[in-house]
Amino acid sequence: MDMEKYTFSQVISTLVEIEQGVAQFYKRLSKEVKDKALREALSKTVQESLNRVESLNRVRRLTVTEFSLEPITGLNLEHYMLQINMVRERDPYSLDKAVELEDTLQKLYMEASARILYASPDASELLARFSRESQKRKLKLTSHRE
Amino acid sequence: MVLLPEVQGNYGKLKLFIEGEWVESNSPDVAPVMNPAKDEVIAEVPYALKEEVNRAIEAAQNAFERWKNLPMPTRVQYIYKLKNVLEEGLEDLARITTQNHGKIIDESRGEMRRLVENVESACAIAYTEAKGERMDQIAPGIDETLIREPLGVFAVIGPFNFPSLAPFWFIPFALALGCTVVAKPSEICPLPLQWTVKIMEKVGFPPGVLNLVHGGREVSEALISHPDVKGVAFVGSTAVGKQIYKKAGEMGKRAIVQAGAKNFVVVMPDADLEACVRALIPSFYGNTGQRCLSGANLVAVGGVYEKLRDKFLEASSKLRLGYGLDEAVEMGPVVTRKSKERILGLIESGVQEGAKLILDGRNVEVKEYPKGYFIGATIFDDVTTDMKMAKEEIFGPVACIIRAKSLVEAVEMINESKYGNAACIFTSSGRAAREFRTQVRAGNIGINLGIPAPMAFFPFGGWKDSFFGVLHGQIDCVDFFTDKKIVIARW
Repeated sequence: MDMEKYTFSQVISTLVEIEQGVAQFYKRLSKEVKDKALREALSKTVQESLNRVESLNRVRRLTVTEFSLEPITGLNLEHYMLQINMVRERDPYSLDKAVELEDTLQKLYMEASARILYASPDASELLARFSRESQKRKLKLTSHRE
Repeated sequence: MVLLPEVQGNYGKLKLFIEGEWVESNSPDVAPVMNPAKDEVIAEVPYALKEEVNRAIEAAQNAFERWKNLPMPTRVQYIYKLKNVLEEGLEDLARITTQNHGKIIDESRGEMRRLVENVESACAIAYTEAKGERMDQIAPGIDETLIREPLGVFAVIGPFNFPSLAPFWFIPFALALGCTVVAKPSEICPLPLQWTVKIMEKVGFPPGVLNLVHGGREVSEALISHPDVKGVAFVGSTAVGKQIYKKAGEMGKRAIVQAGAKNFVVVMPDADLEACVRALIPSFYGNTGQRCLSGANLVAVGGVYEKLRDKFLEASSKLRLGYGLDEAVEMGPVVTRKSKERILGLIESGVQEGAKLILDGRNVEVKEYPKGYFIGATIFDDVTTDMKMAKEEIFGPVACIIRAKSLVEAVEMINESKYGNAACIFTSSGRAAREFRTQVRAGNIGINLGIPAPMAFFPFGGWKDSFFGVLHGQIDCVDFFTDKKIVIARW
């Protein structure tokens, strides 16, 4: 597969796949932590990821037009996928891993937002929001870790 | 990347939709409906008998009086509901479109988005444009009013390339304005409109308001010739379009005929080449080149020629071909085996005429789908406008690169073409863009974009042999589906 070129739906589908994995990660992590407040916060994150999946599917349904069909270049999704999967699959599940995951997500969404802008401003705006959310999550998780 | 599932593997023998019911056609004439990526039969389409077509028209005529007399706000509620049910069924409809037509899933999804946009636009005009006009006191104690009245039954004959969108340039507008419809999809690609009507059943339109028949030329002729049909909206080839327009004219009927094209894309030396080439890919190869807004002739002005050719060639040669239900695929097959053969013949004629074939898509292999009707991106270099391939509509993924010394020469080339559907320019000069916009004789103009597809709240343009009629599709339909009544009153 060409690493540097994606279709609009291919980007969205990959992000959906990532968020589904993220939801699973937080689900498992929430079962492993003892602190009640943190457990609740992690469960909320599971729901947020599922909401992201819904938002991604909606933005695809509502914004794909002829203009979205120009190839999306310069976004190395496979690299991010690899990084995220490595974090998810490595044992043991810990807050450190969650912080690392959010850091990668924040960067991925920031870059994807910029790359997808000419194809769909709505999708770009959504991904920028995800990036900001991941930044906040990262700070929150870091504070719990300390 | 995973292959998205097909909605159904086989859809059986298609039925007709007459007076709110799905009915079996009694016609012995049945043709297979293919999945072009797999060369596999996915349905059978009957060629409706004349009496079946007449029955559909009769149902539409019977429904017309009741439908037109519904208060506008009541009628519009049906159209709002239509938007909602379509939104729910959009993904299935997109996948069926890909399965039957071959276009990639994003193109199908884009088509569905445009389809819904037409429904939204129809709701808007029902409350605004359809109101009519009034002026009090045009003379002492005398007032004058213009009332718009729906005309009756309309035939909508769709093309294969946008099998549900193109009929929706007309159907929602006709219904919103109080007319009734008998639609006929392309016999090559009937499934998407069939499925759309199936979705529309959920709206609960009164029986007969919308009817669907299948078939080819005879069915189209039966529709146009029937005295109860007030007009016809057709999207398809210029040759057939001309016949339909002539027939409609002879019978004193209204007609909108959106026909063929051979679109020019002009690239100026000051264009942003990277952005330009990115836009050229969907322009020339989107829908596998089977769209009336596709780029066909790429005109490089002045010194940009070599650079543009090399960049365009590089991008074109990297297109991933395959079954459009795989989201990673960038170009699907052409619609039929016959289309493939026709396009291959035109490529051969280009070679014979002396154009330089710098990217040959004829022998492309798609490993997973060896029987599919695939043609790779094809580029001819050093093409001149007197060559057949620069003049004739190829309707496939074939680009002809042509040299022009100046913008004036490029515009002359465009204006000499018998077609006038679309023309695009890539430039960073506002002056050049303005010159182009004002001088070019074509109905849809793109500036720094490759597919000038008008939104549903604008008419769909088209000039010369690309269009026959007075009113265009989409929002222009208000005047098409209604007639004006002038009332001058003194009390």
